[in-house]
Parts: sequence; structure tokens; C-alpha cells
Amino acid sequence: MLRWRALAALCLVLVLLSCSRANDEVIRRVATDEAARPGIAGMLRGDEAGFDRADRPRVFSFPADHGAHPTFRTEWWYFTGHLAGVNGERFGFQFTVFRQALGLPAGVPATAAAGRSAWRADNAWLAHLAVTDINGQQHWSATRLSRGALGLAGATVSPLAVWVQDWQLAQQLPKSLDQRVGVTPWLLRARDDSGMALDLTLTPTIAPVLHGEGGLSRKGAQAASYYYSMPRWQVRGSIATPSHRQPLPITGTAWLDREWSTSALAPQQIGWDWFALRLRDGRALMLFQLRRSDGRRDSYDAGSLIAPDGAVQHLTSADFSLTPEGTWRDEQQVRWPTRWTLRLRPIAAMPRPLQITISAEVDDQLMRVGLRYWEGAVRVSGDAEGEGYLEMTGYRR
Amino acid sequence: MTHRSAFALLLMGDLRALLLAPAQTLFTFAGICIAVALIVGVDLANDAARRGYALGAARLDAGVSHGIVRADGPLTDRDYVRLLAMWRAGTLPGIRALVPNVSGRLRRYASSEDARHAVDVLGVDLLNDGGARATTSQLQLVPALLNEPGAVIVGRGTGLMVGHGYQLARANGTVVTVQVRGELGGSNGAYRDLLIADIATAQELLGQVGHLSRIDVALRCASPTAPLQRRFLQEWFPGLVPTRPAVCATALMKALPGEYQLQSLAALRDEDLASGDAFYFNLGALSLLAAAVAALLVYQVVVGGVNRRALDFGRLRALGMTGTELGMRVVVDYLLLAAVAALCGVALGHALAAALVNQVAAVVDDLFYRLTVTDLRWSWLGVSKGVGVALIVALIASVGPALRLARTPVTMLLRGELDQRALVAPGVVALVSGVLAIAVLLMSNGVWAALLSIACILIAAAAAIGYLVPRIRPTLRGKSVLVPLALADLTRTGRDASLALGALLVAVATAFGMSWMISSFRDALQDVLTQRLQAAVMVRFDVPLADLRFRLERLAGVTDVALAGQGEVDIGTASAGRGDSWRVALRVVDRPDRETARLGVAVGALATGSVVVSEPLARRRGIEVAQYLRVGRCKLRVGGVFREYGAPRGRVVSARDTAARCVVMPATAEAEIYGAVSVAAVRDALLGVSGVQIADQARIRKVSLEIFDRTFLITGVVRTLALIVAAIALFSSLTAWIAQRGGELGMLRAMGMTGRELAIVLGMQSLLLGAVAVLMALPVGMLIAWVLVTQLQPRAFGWSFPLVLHWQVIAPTLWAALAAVGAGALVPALTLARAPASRWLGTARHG
Repeated sequence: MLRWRALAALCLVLVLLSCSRANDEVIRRVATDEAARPGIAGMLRGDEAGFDRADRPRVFSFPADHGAHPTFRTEWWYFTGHLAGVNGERFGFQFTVFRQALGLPAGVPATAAAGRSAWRADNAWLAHLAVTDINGQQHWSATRLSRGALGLAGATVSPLAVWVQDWQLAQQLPKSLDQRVGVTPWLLRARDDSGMALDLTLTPTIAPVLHGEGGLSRKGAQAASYYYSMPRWQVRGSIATPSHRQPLPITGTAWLDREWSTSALAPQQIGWDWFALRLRDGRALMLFQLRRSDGRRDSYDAGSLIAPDGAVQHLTSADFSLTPEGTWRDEQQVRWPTRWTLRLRPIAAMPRPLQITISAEVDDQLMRVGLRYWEGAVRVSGDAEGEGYLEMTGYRR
Repeated sequence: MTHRSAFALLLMGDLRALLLAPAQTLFTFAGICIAVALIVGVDLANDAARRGYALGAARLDAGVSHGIVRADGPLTDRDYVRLLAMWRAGTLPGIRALVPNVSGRLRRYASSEDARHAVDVLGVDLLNDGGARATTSQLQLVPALLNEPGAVIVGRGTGLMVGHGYQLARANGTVVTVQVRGELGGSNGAYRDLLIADIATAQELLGQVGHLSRIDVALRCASPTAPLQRRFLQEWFPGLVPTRPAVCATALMKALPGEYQLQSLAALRDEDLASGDAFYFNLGALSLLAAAVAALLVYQVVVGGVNRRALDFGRLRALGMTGTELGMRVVVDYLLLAAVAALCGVALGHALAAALVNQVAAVVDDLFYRLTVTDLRWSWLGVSKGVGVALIVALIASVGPALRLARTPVTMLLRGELDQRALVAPGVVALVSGVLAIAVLLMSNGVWAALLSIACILIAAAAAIGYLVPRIRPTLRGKSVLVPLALADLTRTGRDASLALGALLVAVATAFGMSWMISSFRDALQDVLTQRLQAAVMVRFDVPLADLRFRLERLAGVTDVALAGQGEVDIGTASAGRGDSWRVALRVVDRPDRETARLGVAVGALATGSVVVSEPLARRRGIEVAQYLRVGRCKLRVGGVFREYGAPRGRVVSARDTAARCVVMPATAEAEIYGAVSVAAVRDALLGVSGVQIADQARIRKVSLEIFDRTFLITGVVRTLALIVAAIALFSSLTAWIAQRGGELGMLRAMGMTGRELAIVLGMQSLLLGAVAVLMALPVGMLIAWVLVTQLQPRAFGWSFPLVLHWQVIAPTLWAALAAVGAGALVPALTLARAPASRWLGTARHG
């Protein structure tokens, strides 16, 4: 979905420009200053001319669509998941790579005709890494920012690779015949100086699922994105955290979101709540609601109910409701709803209504990476049980 | 009655009592308020100046402390990628950010050779984890800077207008076009003549595609956390207690591949002759002066306030309140009053700081890279200084009168008089304080001991004048036989005046001490500048230049070229283990003869196998001449100790042949050019070389001293403020003293003494006492200057300089103090002369 990662991405691109210690105070002020937002949003809107737009269904092609789409302004690769150690350790993780075009697809022109600097870049790349220690009730986050130049960051299709400095997501080359005929795993490697590290091998167990109208996910009259997910991946590998610096072998499941677009949300859409839930019965749910400044429900709220075999039932705003039941207050006195009730009315793929409670595994899973947003592991209880990830943005004091 | 309601009643009673004498209460309140404002205002302004210097020295570096360069030539883009990969792989430890940059200079007018018509271009990676630094406040401009050819932000005052395009010329004459998209910097010209661009744009503008000037490094290691006691000292005595820089680059230096060098930017900056520590110290002296005078003002107004309310207290005693209860009440009264006044003083201090900060910022602007800091930063420990001084001094000042109140007979109180017998003999206080001042200096080498010693000297001096005043028995011939009576009275009632005179003495003595210290420092700085800046032109390089000497020596008029490299080295005493070493700045020179003259050490001090060390290093580590030090791989003899007012960690200077055997040789970083050569000629010789700074040594010397003097002007402003405050205190005390003597003076008038005679007698008394205080301030000021120069500075910074008593620098203070004395003496006397005798007799009757 267009979770406005685009917004987050460029905001962070801008805010992280100055993420040095000496300027932390300024950054916080910029990041939280309401008055600063129009300027940043304005920058985001920018000039869309020259870029392709997501305005009609398209034919998806894999593995090509796992790679970058430089004719669109914004896109991201987005993994979330739950991991478990052999001694009952439980973790959540998030790894996201954003691409934001800096200029037209034709390229940013050089200053002097005599020579073009290798630092000239058409794209900015930003990555977020977060780990939640569910048993330890701790959460850590980190970020990387680079330009798509000098090999500092970028993406390739064959073999698939997306990287920002040393953080990378890459498809493993097949080593054996059974891999050639089967599914090639992906590798995710990221480590931070704080001690946080992921070294994961991810194997998809389900084909890409297209959201919206054949992959066209509408967020407004003029806003839409191309959006697909791969909601179940088997994960194995190791994890380290600042409190457990020794890599710990883990297994688990993960969810991949891929989305790209050129348009941005409407000004009255001030934030969103996004849910990616895997139920124990094999079904999966993706839902998002766009919060409006006037408090009314947005008609573009939508979702997908994914059957165990990958069959998708598109959900409209009339099919579900999300009600916040409890909040957690951060150090800036912003209240984040960390407990929700989801009510899903009977639909073709689900003849009986569904009511579930979605609760944060850890209240404080705030991403303190320039722009503040809440992104964290949740558990599902009620008519169905399961786990997932919740993302919330645009909450104010 | 509950305790709470009893307390409320007590408070209400206190408030009512204070309001019974609104003028006196207001005067006390205003005095405390002004005193706290002086402390807070000066400290806030100083802090702004200090940050301005720190930021200016760091320029746009956002916390980077080191820079990486190649030993064998300019850095390339690939070097950055390689080092970034090594850092991310964990093989380069301790890095928080790697920030590549490219810098160079463009001419604004292609035909101009004038340096004033050139602009510096700084290219930073706007998409870097380490930060874009200077563009923080220009977020909205980032897309333009990244996307538009030639887009730059220009320092305000450069003369390039936002929204316009300009043609600039490279050294080789190639013309390039910049588009000014925004402005940066304050109104005082911060960043003037500086263009900031994305690194890609800067490379293209400067014709340095593929090359970097330096890769700046921000280290992850935190500054060592000072213990609370030291932090307290740093906040209460800013600039006088140095902060300890973090030393954490050793591991990174060892891990870097051999072709790279890690330069300490701090070490390079330490070479600045107008050193930061000197600047900080000057500000610290101002702060100390302000605090001393403010404390005295608080003391004065509180003591005066209590004394003037003797009649009110007498009535309370007559109504049945015991002496102890009354004493407690006085203390509580004045503590509450001080607390409220102090809070107002904090607010007033903020306003004062806002007014002062522009003056300070102007100095920073001129001297240190034109960076302006005009915002004020609050620190609780810092603000606590103003409030703390007010409360502590109010407590001390009110306890004495409170005890007097407790023991003064009611009948005496009802006459408005206090038992003036001293609680502790002033002579004893003076003696004990004097002994303590000496003892703490002998017992401890700490900074706190020196500060405590100064405080003890001031207390001893104030007590000494309290001891002396009653013993002054002047004779004054007059027509009236009553004159001797009036003079004799001085002995009995002079103690109150002695408080005011003590305050005046301390204020004037402190001002004298500070003036002597600063003027001595200026002399020493001038000497060092003269020694160090003998060359005509100095050139500094970010990137080593292979044919540097050849290029410079062929210039017409050049008689000699001395090259030097700057780096760091681990040293230790010869007997110490390898682990017991210290990282210090290293300067390697190829002309030892020039260097010994430059440093003012003996010829031969840099002979083969010898090094010279800076005075701060020698003092801190107990290094002496002829001792052997382990420097890198060798044991080297200390050939001399040179004076230095920078590089607090210390500096070792070595000849090139000696260093070559012992240490990793730093690249040549600077060249001193001797002879009759101009900056323009050197610039021509180095056209096309990036990262070069060319300085006219004579101009540096002149500007450095000018700036020092301008800093001194601020000292003068604060000193004047202090004297005004002291004069107010003196005026208040003398007025109170004369008012207190109303009864007996009225009696003298009734006995036939004319108002004129009385005014002359009292005026002469006051002038005499004031003159004694000011004259006593001279030796006390000398003593304070001696402790500051010979005890405090070596302890705090490791440097020393000769104390020179310039009498002319104290003349303004002397005249101002005498004027204050005159005003304090004559105005009440004249008022008295004009008043009818009945007024004074009335006072006597009611008293």
C-alpha cells in the first residue's frame, strides 16, 4: 500500500541530511515542527511531470518487478517478520529500503560541461532497520542514507539486489538443481554499530499477491500506487541485538511489501494505520485506513484477505472497521493506539463475521530515525489468532 | 493550629513586615535582582561567545574531530567508497560518521587578483549519514542543491543575491556559473564569502571531478564524563576550569591502511595563535569578576536592609518577640526576598545577556571564522550559580545582623540602633582568611584551591578594612570645638561603613587583579606572536604538495622556506611502560634553526635526538629539560620547553631527521615563507592547488592583537558594570550609615554645629575611608593577579606568563572607584547639610 513511506522516505532523506550529533536539537525541532511540514510535503509533491504514474492496472512481471522502477518517483522494499530462537526467544524485525528520485528519470544535469561528477545521482536511497525483543520488551532502530552514485546504494534485477551501503537484500544464486527448479531464497544482511544485526535467508512460500485492482491500489482521486505483497516467507538465520550481541540462531516467518508510485496523498489525509497480519489458519490480512484531518472516514480505506492458497479478496472501507482500544504515550506526549479491534463483515470469501483484537507486543516500538513513526510487532487474538506488524503515522500531541 | 497554617501565618507576617518598609524592601529586592542579573547575564553572554568560538573553530564540521587525507596525493572518490566499506565492515573502529568534502576557491571577477574578490566553495555530501551540517536550516533548498546545476547557498554578506546567477572563475581562468538558491548565516556576516554546494556541484564548479579535499571523521567515542564536582566548577567558573577533550582516535589511526593519514582537526586548530583557551580564559575572568561584585552587592543590600529596619524589629521585640525568634525571622525574611529577587534577576539577566551577546558575537565574528551565535543557552547548573550566590550570600549577610538583633537591648532597638559590637573580631577573620589563602595553595595543586585562595584573600581584605576603619583617628582642624566630637564618633559607628568599604575594596581589587592579568597576558601573547610570525607568508594545505618547496623558492624575494607537518604521536616517559602513553600534537619541521627562533628556545634544542615540548605538556606531565621521553619508537631528549597558549593536550616539536626515525611522518601541512614576498605572489605560485590557505603573517599578528583588545573592551564593559554596582552599594551603605547616626548628628547640630561644618566633617570622613579602601585595593589586586597568573593559570591550563603591573591599565578603574567614593560621601553629606536640625533631633527623639 501507499503507506506514505514515500513521505517518510523523503522526509527522512531531508531530515537525516543533518543527523549529526551537533544538530540533533535542530533535527528534532524540524521533525516535530508542524510549520515545517508544508515545506517538506511541498518538496515531496514536487514536479510529477516526466514520471510515469500509477493510474491503471498493469501486467506484473516477475522477477523484473522485484527490481527498481526508476520511471516512477518513489518505491520501497519492505520486510517485516517474527523470529524465534531455540530457547523461546521472540523477536520482531523490520527492514525497509526506500528509493526516491531526485530529478527526472532522464537524469540530473551536470554543472559544468567539462565533467560530470560521479556524485551526481538520480536517486536517494534510505534504509531502516528495527528489531524488537519481545521477551525483553525492547526495541531498537537504525537508518542508512546514501545517494545512488559510486555504488553506495542502488538496485539490480538480475540477480536481484537492493542495497544501501552495507545493508542489502539480495537474491541468492541457485546452488543446486532443486533450487533451480524451485524457489531461490533471498538474503537479508544488515548490521548497525549499536550491535543490532540481521543475517537472514528468506524463502517465499507463496506467490506475489496483487492488492487493489490487479495491483493498482488507490489512495485518492489522484493518488494510487502499484502494490503487491508476499505475505509468507520462511526465515532462518541469526539475529543480534544491542543487549545480545552474539548472533542467535533463529527461524520464523516474514512478509514482503513492494510498492511504487509517483503521486502522493491528498493534503487532508494526515496519517494512516496499516496492518499486515498472518493468522494461524493460514489466512493473511492487509488493511489500511487513511486518517483525515476532518475526522471522517476516508472512502479509500482498503485491504486484502488472502487465503492460504494465495487467493485474494479485495476489501473496501465498507467491509471493515478499526477501533483503537488503548494507547501508549511517548516521551513527546503523543498517544499511539497500540491496541485495536478489527471487525470484518461477512464477505464472499468469509461467510461469518470476524472480530479480532490486535495488540502491540511492545508498546514502545517507535521509530526514532529522524521522522517519528510507530512500526512494530503485534499479536492477534479473538475470533482468530496470529501475528503481524502495525504501522502508524501522523499522530500528534 | 496546624503546622501548615502556622507557616502560612509566619509567611504572611514576614510579607507584612517587609511591606512596612516598602522603599527599603524594594531597594534590597532591586539590589539582589541586579546582582543575579549581572551573574546570569555575563555567564549567558560568555557561553554564547564560547559556543561561537567552538562552532567557529569547527566551522561547518558538525562534530567531526578528525580528517583523513592520503599521504601520497589527493583523495579520490574511490578512497571514500573504500573507507566507507571498511567502516561498515567493522574494520575501522570508533567512527560515527564519514563526511567527504571538497573545497576550493573561485574568483568573483575573472580579472581580479584581489583576495577579497574570491569566494570559498565548500562541497558537502547532502545525502550522508554524517549530515549536511551547515544546511540544516535550509532543508527546503536541498532538492534544488541536488538537482540544479550550479546551485549553491551563499553566506550572508558575500554580496551575491538569492535567485541570481553569477559567473565565477577558477584559477585557470575557466568560467563557471553558480545559481544562488539561499542564504546562510547571521546578520554579522557569518559564512561571508562562502558558497556551500552539494559535493557533486562543488567538484564540477572547482574542476575537481573525482577528487576530494578531505574525509572528515566524527568519532563515536564520547567525551569523558566529568565528575559532578568538576562539572560544577566548570559551570560556576567557566573558562577557568578547562574541559578535557576526548582522546579516542588511536584505534582508528592504527586500523587505517598505510596510505591514509588521520589528522586531528583539533591539533591543527590548536596552531591558531589566538587560541581558544586564551579566549575562554578571558571570558572566565569576566565571569569571576561579575560574580564577585554581585556577591558583594547582595551582601550590602541585605546587611543595609536589616540595619535600617532596626526600629521595626525593636517594636516587635517590645511586643514580646524573643531575640531568637526575631533573628530567625530576619533570616527567613531575607532568604525569601532573595529567592524571589533572584528569580527576577534570572529573567533580567537574560535580557542583559541578549544585549551583551551582540558585542561578544561581533568579536567571535571577526576573529574566528565569522560565525555568529546570538542565541542564549540555559543550563541549570549555570543558572544555579546566580540563584545560589544570591541565596548563600543573603544567608551569610542576614545571619550577622540577626544575631545582633538577638542581643541588642530593646531600648536600643527602639532608637533604631543595633549593637554594633562585632560577632567575630574582624582582625581574627582577616588573619584566619589570610592563613587559609596561603594554606590551600600550599596544600593542593587543584584549580579549586586557587579559586578558594582568591576568595580567602578577598574575605581577608574585607575583614582587614573592618579592622582598620575603627582605628582611623583623623584630626581635622576647624572653627568649631564640636568637630573633634564628630570625628571621634567615627570610631564608634564606623563599622557599618566598613561593610561598604569592604565591598568597594573587593570590587576594586578584583577589577585591578583582572586588569593586570589581562594586560600581562596581552604582553605575553604579543611576544609569542612576534616570535611565531616572523615569516612573511604562511601557507597551509589540506593535501600535501610534492613540488611545494620548488614552487615557493623560485618566487622573487623569497629568502627561505620552512616546511612543517602536523600530526599526532604517542609519547611517554622513558621509564614508563608502553601502555602508559599520551597522545599529543606533533609538529615536524625541516628547519630546526628557524623553529628554535620561532619557539623562543635555545639554539640546539632541536638537535638530532632531541625534541622540544610545549609548556602545558611539560607542566601536566612533569617533564623537564634534559629528561628523556619515549616518542613513537625512540627515546628522545627534551631539548627545551616552549611557551604555548593553545594545544591543551600538549605538543611535541621535532626536527624532520629525528622524527623520521621515530614516528609515522605527518605530511607537510604548512610552509612559512621568509623574505620580501607578497600573498598575491604566493597565490599565483599555487594557482590551481585546492585546499590551500594563504595568510599574511604581519596581518595575522595585527589582527590577533586587535581582536584581543576588542575582547578586552568587553572586559571593560563588564568591569564598568561591576564598578557601577559597587558604587551603588557604597552609596547605599554610606547613606545608611549617616542616617543611622542621625540622633547624634542632630545633637551636634542642636549644640551649634552648622550644617556646612557637619557636611564637611562627614564628607571628609567618607572620602578618607573610601580612599583607604581604594588604596588597600592596590596591593590586594596585585595579590589576586599573582594568584591568577602564577597559580590558577598553570594549574588550569599549564601555561604561564610574566606578571607585569601596568599602572596605566588600572587608572580608569582607580578614578572610577574614587568617583564612586566621592559621590557616596558627598551626596549624603550635602543632603545632611541642607536638612534642618529638627529633622535630626526628631530622629534622636524617636530613636
